[in-house]
Amino acid sequence: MNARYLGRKVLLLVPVLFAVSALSFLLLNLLPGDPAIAILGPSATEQSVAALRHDLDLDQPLPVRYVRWMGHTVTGDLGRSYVSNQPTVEAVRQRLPVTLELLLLSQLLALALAIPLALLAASKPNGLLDRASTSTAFAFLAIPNFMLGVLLIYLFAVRVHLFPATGYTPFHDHPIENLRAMALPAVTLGVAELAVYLRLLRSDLIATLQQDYITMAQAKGMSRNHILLRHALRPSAFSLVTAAGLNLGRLIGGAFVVEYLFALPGIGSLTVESIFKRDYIVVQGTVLLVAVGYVLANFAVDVLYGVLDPRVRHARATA
Amino acid sequence: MATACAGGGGGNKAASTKANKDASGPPKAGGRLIMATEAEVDGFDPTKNRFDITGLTYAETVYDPLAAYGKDGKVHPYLAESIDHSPDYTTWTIKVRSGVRFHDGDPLNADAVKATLDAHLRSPLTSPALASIASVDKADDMTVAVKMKEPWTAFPSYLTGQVGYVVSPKTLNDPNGSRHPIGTGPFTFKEWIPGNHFIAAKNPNYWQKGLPYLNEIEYRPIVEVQSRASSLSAGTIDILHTTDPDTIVAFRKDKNVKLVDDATSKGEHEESFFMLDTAKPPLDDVRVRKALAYATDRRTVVNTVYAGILPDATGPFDKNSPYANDSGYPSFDLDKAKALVAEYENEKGPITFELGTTNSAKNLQAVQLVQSQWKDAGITTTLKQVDQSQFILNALVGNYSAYLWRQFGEPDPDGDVVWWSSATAKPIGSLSLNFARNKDPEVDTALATGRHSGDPAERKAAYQSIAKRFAEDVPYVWIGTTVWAVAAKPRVQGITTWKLPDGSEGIDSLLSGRFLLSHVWTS
Repeated sequence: MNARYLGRKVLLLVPVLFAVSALSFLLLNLLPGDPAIAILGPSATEQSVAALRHDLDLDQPLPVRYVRWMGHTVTGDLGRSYVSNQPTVEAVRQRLPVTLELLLLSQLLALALAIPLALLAASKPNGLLDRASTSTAFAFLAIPNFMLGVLLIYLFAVRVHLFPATGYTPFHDHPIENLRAMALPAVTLGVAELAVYLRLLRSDLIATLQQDYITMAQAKGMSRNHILLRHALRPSAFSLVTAAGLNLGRLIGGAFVVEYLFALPGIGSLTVESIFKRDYIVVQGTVLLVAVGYVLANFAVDVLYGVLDPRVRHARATA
Repeated sequence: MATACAGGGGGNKAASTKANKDASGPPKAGGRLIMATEAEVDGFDPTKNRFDITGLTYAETVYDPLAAYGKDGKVHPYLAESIDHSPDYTTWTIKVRSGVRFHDGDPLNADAVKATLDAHLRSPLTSPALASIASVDKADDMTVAVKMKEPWTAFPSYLTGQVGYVVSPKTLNDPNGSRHPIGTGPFTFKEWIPGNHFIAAKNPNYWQKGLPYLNEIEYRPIVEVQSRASSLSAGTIDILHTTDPDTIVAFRKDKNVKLVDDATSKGEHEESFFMLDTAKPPLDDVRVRKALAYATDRRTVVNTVYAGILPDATGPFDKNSPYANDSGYPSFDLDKAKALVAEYENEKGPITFELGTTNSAKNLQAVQLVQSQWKDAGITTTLKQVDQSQFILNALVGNYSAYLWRQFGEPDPDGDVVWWSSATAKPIGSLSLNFARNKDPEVDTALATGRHSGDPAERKAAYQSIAKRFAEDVPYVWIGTTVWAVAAKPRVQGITTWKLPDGSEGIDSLLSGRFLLSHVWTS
């Protein structure tokens, strides 16, 4: 791996992250509603609202608040919740593992099914398996995840008591309970991804399989499995890797819904709760975290291109 | 559509066919329950955090209220040994039980009660309701004297809720105290991971001998109503509370679920209604407001949107309230509505205004249905959905015309003074707790009578006169009475059968979702 290539990529991250933080701060402050009113509720009086706004620094101009917030943020202090007084960093630390596990499991599930299915489908395009997997994939894509989640809860929690309907057990407390609790949410979130990955990889594989070097390999008498796995899969994985990176944004969005539905204490439910309570400090923290995570994941995808195909790294490094 | 229970309180018929009754035999100690709540709390400090039903449920786990309602509908001392008043009701003397200790071993005494009440008086959140208190003074080690600016007969009813929980001064003084509370309650705080769970363990030194029955209780907030209900059906949780009519209807029929609801409970309930800004044209004209009342077909709204289970409301006191009366509130009558509309329009032109609600699918259904009913009477409204906190702000500053609202469930009507008094009705643009900005001298007089009088009959007449004034003047267009329900696995016992510390029976019904988990046991 070329160090200059990597270095330039890292440098480019800095302005992107800065822009992301400024935009998320600005957006949240453009939201209607007043945190002081949200906290005090219907019994608010003019004096109490003014006093609370002062306590929360809300009477300061926006740029001042942004600079203060940014100053704390770069030192790792995301402030305290207006509402519960919990440090945002602590809330994030409690919630992040849940969301990461959900994202990881759903991605693993999607990829673990998509790759073998795509290989099988591409090895016999328009065969029975190809057509069956295509139509199933479209059906899964068409089901919104909140509906699939309700359906799965009904079938596998209410009718057959296989999995808990809601809730979360930390992995280090009870690994099996943890996986049982995460099974339905991960399937709910992963199914739509499975469909996308399957379709992408299948069509790229079919294109690759028509290349001359594959014909050459066949002429040499290599087995079909060998050609698929050793020669065709890696060069066909480009779109898949791109999609997996870009999909992270969609997955996080989906995680918000899935966490709400399954009452999982993740970053998504933290953000939603905090938005409803106008708990700006916490929302700013989680939005920043999600944005940074997204940017970093796509950075990793960029780097992965080079690993997958040496031509990329040489072309870009010499460009 | 289940409309069989249209009269309200339809739970009784279903109750006889399924095991809603508690198991016989003495309560058994032991066990652990998981209860799903409808929301997460902000914290445990009653002087800093707003307590909705979940807040009250959490609070009653770690704290004790000074007072509680009995089966007789009266306020009884609970953590207090006695609550007495001077003959003119201007001083209330609260004496707490001796020998009670906080979870950290500190003794309960007058200092703790005074510290809690003083913190409320400083609190921007709870002080508006306590504006009649002049001072809280320590009379002796176990007694405080609360001096009032005016006679206040219903003060003890406030001690049954958020104001009545006695909090350790350590919790009050600790900036992080709201996150690990110290009380005298039946369970001690063990762990709270916001959004995930709150766990509390049996207090082995609890002052009520033999209580609580459970060894441990775990609460989990499950905001999504259907997920909460499914969690009980799936056995993931043991008990839940809800106001979702579809859940209640489904569980009334479910033989594997014990259901207790407050549709027929004696006492105050919250009403759902359209709140009107009476300071803003065209709603400043009583003919328009009356036309809205005539044009609203409450029965159809309840049957269509609320699964037919909300009891009818014709005023702030529903038929199970001790203050219930025939308020004379208009029944659905489209012709009368049209006549009033025509009369107004001849003078002042067409009636149009904005109709608002929050971003909830159920609320939107209700509002759309009512919008079409009002349209039938010739009243044009534009619909607007507003985010919850903006919604409250708009109501406070008068930036609204008609909002779908839910309120007036205070255990004693005196708790509603701030919402109804002319003193809290401010012009549009200023924060006004009297959201309807309804200034009515007759209501003010009745509210004063209700606050000052020690004669139950006189108080009753006063509050009934308010319901009549609201019926004539229509600051609120009533829709129905909220039904709260607690659903549980059949093994959960004692939800509404319990005894007060003085040996008399506690309130035998669920009220706005509240019950004491300290008295719940499992068979």
